[in-house]
Amino acid sequence: MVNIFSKWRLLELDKKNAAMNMAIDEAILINCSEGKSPNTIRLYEWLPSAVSIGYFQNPRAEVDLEKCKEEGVDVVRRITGGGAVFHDSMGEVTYSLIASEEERIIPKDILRSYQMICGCIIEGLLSLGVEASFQPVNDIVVAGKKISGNAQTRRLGMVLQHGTILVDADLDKMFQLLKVSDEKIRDKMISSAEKRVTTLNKELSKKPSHEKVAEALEKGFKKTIGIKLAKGKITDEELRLAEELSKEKYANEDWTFRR
Amino acid sequence: MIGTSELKAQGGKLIRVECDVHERSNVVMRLIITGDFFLHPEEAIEELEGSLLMLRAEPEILTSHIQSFFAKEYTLVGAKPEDFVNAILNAISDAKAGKQ
Repeated sequence: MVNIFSKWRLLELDKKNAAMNMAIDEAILINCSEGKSPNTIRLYEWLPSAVSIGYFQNPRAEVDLEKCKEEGVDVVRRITGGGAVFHDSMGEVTYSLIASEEERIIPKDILRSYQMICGCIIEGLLSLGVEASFQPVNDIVVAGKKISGNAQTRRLGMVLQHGTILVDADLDKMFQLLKVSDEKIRDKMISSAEKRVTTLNKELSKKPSHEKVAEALEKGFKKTIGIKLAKGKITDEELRLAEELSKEKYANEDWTFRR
Repeated sequence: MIGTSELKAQGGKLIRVECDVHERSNVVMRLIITGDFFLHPEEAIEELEGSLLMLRAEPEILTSHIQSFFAKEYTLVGAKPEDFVNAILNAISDAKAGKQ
């Protein structure tokens, strides 16, 4: 369905728990697919910190669940594929882009669309003074080190891509909470997990505020896609559906441990 | 007989398989595929797993089923159908090896 709204909506930085964050993304996707909401860019943070796992992952294999419990870190399964991500409430900004697949600016080809949407993030990072590039399939790197991971799903005629920008994430904690697979350890290219990842704080030698990062991302989306972004709010209907999805799906262990 | 496998796909993603093969009948009783790959639509993974159940755990039979599954309109990102074939066959042979 081609969206009847002329402008895209920007949902400004907002902090929610893991289940609600994932539920809001899906609720927007559903409302958007029914023509009730405009295409949307959403910026958000996680409170408490959380680990999100990909649709196909086994949380027991990917996450130190005991450690998460000890640290008060939520674990949530996404509707998108890809890997496990640590969302540090103090050092990470997440975005989501939700738009009709019919949008002219969204490439039909999935790989190309990753590249295009990641291009918005790269543009945003550039405005902060960080030179990053796209690394297929779904990463953004600075001098070979990952600073952003992205994941996409296509359903109900919509594209949903969400991704993380590491601002000042606690990398030691990240690697305590996430289990690195034997296969990845065996791969000499990535023998040291810590050396594979960077943050905006490391690259700029100064931690930018999450608000500043959000502002940069907003600029990146506007410039790259050339869209008109109007600041908006989540609708009552989206919120109702998100609360339901949060409770019934994302906070439910049947969903988290289904694989 | 339980078997597992872990395979780094050509596209860089990881595929893990856990399976249970019935010892006397040599039939696939359970098969779960996990990993950080992308498959669109995502629900297709359950269809793939389900389509392999109750088949004889023979490489030719499984390979042909997996290949015909991916011949449908599914999009794999970060892995190729051959990676799934190899990961699944590795888990099956691990299950059989465990028997001895």
